[in-house]
Amino acid sequence: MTAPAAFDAHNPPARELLDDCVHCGFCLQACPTYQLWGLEPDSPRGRILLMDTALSGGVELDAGLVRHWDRCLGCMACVPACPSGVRYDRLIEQTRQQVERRFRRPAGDRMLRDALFTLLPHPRRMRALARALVLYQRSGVRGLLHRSGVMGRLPRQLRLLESLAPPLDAAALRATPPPLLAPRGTPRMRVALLSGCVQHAFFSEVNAAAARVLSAWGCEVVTPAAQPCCGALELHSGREAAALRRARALLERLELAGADRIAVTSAGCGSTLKDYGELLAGDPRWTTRAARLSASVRDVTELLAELGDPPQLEPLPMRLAYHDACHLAQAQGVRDQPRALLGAIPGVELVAVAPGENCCGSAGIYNLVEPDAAGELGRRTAARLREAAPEAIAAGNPGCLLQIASHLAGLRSPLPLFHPVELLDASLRGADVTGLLRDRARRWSQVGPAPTC
Amino acid sequence: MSTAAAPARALLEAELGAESVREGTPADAIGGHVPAAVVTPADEAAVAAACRLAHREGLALVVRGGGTRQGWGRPPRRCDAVLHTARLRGVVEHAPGDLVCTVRAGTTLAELGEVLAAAHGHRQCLPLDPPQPAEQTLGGAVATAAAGPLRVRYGTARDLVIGTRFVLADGTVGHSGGKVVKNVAGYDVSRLLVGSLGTLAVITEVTVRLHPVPPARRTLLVERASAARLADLGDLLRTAPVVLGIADICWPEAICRLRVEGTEEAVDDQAAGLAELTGARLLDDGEAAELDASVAARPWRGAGAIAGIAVPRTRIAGLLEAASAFATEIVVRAPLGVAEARLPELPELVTQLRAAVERLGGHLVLHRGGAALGGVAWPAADGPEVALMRSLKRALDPEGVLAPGRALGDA
Amino acid sequence: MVARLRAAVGGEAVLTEPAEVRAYECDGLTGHRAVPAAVVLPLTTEETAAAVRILHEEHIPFVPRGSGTGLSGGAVAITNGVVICLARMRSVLSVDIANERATVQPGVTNLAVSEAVAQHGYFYAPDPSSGSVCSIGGNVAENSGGAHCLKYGFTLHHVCGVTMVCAGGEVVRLGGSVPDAPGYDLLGVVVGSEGTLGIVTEVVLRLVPRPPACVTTIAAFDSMEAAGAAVSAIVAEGIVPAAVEMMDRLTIQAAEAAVRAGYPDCEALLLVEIDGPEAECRTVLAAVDRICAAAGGTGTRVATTAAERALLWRGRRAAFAAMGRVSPDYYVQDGVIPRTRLGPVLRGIRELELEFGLRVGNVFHAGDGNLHPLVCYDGSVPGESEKALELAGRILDLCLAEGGSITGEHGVGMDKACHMPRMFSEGALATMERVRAAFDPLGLCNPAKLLPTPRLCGEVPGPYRAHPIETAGLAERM
Repeated sequence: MTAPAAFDAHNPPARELLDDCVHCGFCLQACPTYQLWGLEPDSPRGRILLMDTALSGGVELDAGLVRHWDRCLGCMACVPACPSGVRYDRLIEQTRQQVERRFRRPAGDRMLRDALFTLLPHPRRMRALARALVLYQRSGVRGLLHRSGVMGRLPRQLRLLESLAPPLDAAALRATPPPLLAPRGTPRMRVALLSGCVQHAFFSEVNAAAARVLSAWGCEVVTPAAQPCCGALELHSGREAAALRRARALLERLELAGADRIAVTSAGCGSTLKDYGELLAGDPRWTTRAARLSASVRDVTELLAELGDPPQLEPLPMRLAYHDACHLAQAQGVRDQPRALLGAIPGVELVAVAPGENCCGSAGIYNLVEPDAAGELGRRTAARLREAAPEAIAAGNPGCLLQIASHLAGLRSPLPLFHPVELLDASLRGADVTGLLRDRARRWSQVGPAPTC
Repeated sequence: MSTAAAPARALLEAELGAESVREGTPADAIGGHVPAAVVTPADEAAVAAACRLAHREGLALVVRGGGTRQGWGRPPRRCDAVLHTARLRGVVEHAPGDLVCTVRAGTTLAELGEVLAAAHGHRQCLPLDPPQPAEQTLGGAVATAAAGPLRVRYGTARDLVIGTRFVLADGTVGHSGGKVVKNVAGYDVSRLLVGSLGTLAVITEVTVRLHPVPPARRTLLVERASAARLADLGDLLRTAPVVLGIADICWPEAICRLRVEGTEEAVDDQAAGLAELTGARLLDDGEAAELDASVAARPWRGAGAIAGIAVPRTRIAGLLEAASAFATEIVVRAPLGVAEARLPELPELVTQLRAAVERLGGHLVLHRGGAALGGVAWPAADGPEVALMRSLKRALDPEGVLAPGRALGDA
Repeated sequence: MVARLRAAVGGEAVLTEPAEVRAYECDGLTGHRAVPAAVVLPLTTEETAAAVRILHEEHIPFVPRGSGTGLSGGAVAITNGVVICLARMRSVLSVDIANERATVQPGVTNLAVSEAVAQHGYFYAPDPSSGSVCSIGGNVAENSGGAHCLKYGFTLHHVCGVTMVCAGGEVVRLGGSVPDAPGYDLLGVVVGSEGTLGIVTEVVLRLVPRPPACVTTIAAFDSMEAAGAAVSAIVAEGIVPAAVEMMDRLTIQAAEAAVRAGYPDCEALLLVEIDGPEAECRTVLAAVDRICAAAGGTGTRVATTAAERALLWRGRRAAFAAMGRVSPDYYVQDGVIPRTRLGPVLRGIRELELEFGLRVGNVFHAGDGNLHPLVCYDGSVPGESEKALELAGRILDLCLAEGGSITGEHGVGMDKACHMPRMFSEGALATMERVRAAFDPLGLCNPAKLLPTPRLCGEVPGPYRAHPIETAGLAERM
């Protein structure tokens, strides 16, 4: 059987990386989609086997094959689980680039993806959307649409988007970090804060809190204006050229800040920035610069833990569940630092959450392009979190917070969700815990439940 | 297919030589059949020759070791010759450093015990202690999955046998397992032979895993306890931080014999802990020996039918209650829910006890007295499981040479 | 056939897309591969039975599969056959602590059982290295052991009963939750039958209380022989440790480089674990220390806290993975010898190293004589992988010459079926054939595994590649 070659010669999954996999199966239990369906082709080693087969010309690049790669969340839980050190992250990225170039998706899928990429990686468009959403949520149009049943007749993807719309209020939107914030106490280093697209558009108060907290830890914090998108979403979706373009643009922008460290509040962006060195390694003009930048990137909690020597923290008594964002825990290995920081706040009791599928199903644009799997993972994650009976939930990634919120929706007493730095900030400010939880819960309660079909 | 008595004996003599064959007498009868001949093969090859002949000529053979458990299962439908393992005797190999011993099937447990005891400085034993060790052969113990009080710690023949050599009904000589404890090569045919009542193959050699003789042991006694308190022991002992060798509830005496094993330095700790936990009294050596003698071979001493019983451990109280109503005596291995009961050979009592045991989620098999009672079958129920057993019997013994009917009635 | 299967188990549970069935072409041993025609993923015993009945009627061979982590090719598909994958049957059905039983579906992982009962102070004793991923169904098929089987026994000793779908689709219950089920011990032969006698769809497991105390100690020796003598002396003293592991210099160095467990620099290392009542542990530990010292052991180190113990074990578990730092490729052999024959066998392995010009790392479950020699080679050098495979085969000869076995825990599967006649007589193999025929007269259930066939044994398996389950540190290969 001679099938047309599945992959072209431009950067296909590397043979030597594929050969590292010896099919032991240690990745199976780590993989959320294998946990969901128990299907070998929807496991990391199965996907690798299919890449291998495609590379050796054993199969055609058809919908039946592409489906299994598409279903990968990109959560990277398999990477630390692998005893052989297989670079699944690289492999799936390389494969997705091939798919984007060589596989023609059905029209609906194509349009959705195009639409998403016309919007998501563009901070200004996102910010405009955010303002429109405030109006939508405030004006009563939202309630009207839901009550009148119009919402129910919209296509599922649209309803999904609507349900994931972040809970906004105008005040929160105005809370952006200042361009420059001086350190409190003895200056320790200069830190550039990455805005992030979704973070900047919908959760700019997180960035504002991050800046205050870093300053309290002795950092001079600079937040460059008009930062371009880091390219993470495109990179994870195989849109290589666009991702590289954005990476170079952001790199140049951040270099200008002349900072010792780049602090990131969004896990997906952080892991991508840390990969710039590898991503741009093929281009001699950028290699050194990219590597240097990547080496200076830290998740904000990682950086705070590294700095150590915390300022005075005021009590914030609450039972708190911490959710590991995949791109923080798996991709960056940042698990202990946020827990340690939150645990250091007097009164914070970190509750144990039962182990599960690792990923909440948010995964970049995954919850929009693979709604069934994402919905099921979201439901399970929310259920596990609820079982731990926390008073609040913290996670270091906006996508996770939205996904979890939409699956917690409908609870009689809605749970407030936070980015860890928001809690640190509240503690530094000596905020009233009751008010903090109540206000936040009220805001998150605007998030609608994810439609199931 | 039935062969006249005289030809059976003549054929066997021709095949094995006159010195290995004698005429059967009423004393040799098994299941009411007086055999035409009793064959005592000198070695495995002779066993194979006898089986080949029986397979060819349509003779029914019944294997006999010490003759202590011939009543197990159903009475065989025919018995043209008894194949007596008396000359398949002796220890083939004892590897003390590997805690492994290979023994010919006709060796008695007492003989094996002496050999192991004599292995100077090694202090090893086969912790398999069914009644009548002086007569009980190892082959017979394997074929009946025999065990005694020590099964609480060491298990039964199922857990101690690591390899066998055997002869199939058509004379095929086979082996399974080996001389190493850890081994997953091939089917574990030995496991099939354990408890097969001599109906699948003639066991000629057994390799067993030995255990070190515990340096010290202490015996304790729970006395005059209620059924409920005795039954609770099963649960108390579950997580007790002790190494328990024996835990026998004897009823109707309403006592429980407990034994802990360990190092000389630490065994008293264990005994004290157990006494506190259970309210048992620590016995001195004299008292312990007296107790051991008084409960030895219980409930096999005395007339009546013997039933092997197993119930979930949490149902021991119910078992004791049923035993009070229908049995003369019962010994329960408390942590396991396994028991042996003696009861009058009255069909209605057996039926009632069995029904009670089944209500408790357990099962009952008659080990003695089955013939007179028309057999509480082994196994009792018909179903796809029994069909599979029948298929296995047919595959290994297509002509029905080995104790036909003993295991499954018709096969 | 596919239509009938879909009707029986639901369309979504039957895979036939080329890409999907392709993913089932091999298990944890990639040297053997075959693409099945279809994969069936039942959720219940009834669905499994329905699928098997159809395949039986159509005379189509089928292969049961759990997590597909086996190391002997036991779950390799049959070309044009069907894989019945039990990975979706992963519920812990019931836990009965008072009776120390758990009833689980076959797709539940080994570790998940221990996790499910940990809160009650219990665990499931067999602990194969792949415990976090391998399934209970697979454990039953392989009679899996683990590091602690020296004291606690194998899967055979911890499975009380199973529900099994026979090759013809009948459902049988073998054993039960109470002991001594009347009749032939069919369960005893089904455990370890490598999926050739039927498909186990429900398993009743025995649970074991966590021992009150546990200590781990290491001792350094000048030679592997001296360490081996210490093991023999420990056993001769009547001590049954929970585990006894031995490593040679090559593997110690590799492990130390990988995890820095703080192992001493020495020719041979013993790792001994003792558990039981606390006072008992103390006295036995003292005895082990004394014996090791008498055998020339130096620098014993005792770990009493869970963290210290974990560190000592981490090194042992990492030994194989770490081997990757020393050698580009390696083959992990699995053989068993009587533990007292360790000296001669080690000498034999050393001679083989010289003869073949390849290095062999030695890691043993010394307590039960289970060897895992790591034959180091470079697959990019022409002919070297074949040489390594031959050397590994010669190690099995050494094991057999000492009265040992060709496999202690990885199973025969497709990989070692051709070695079976070296260990078993014709009569023994014929007996096994008859047992198989009694369960599966048509030979449809996992054919070409375990027993040698002329077709299979005429072929040479593909190049073998190192396996991280054995090789890994995240995982212990025991």
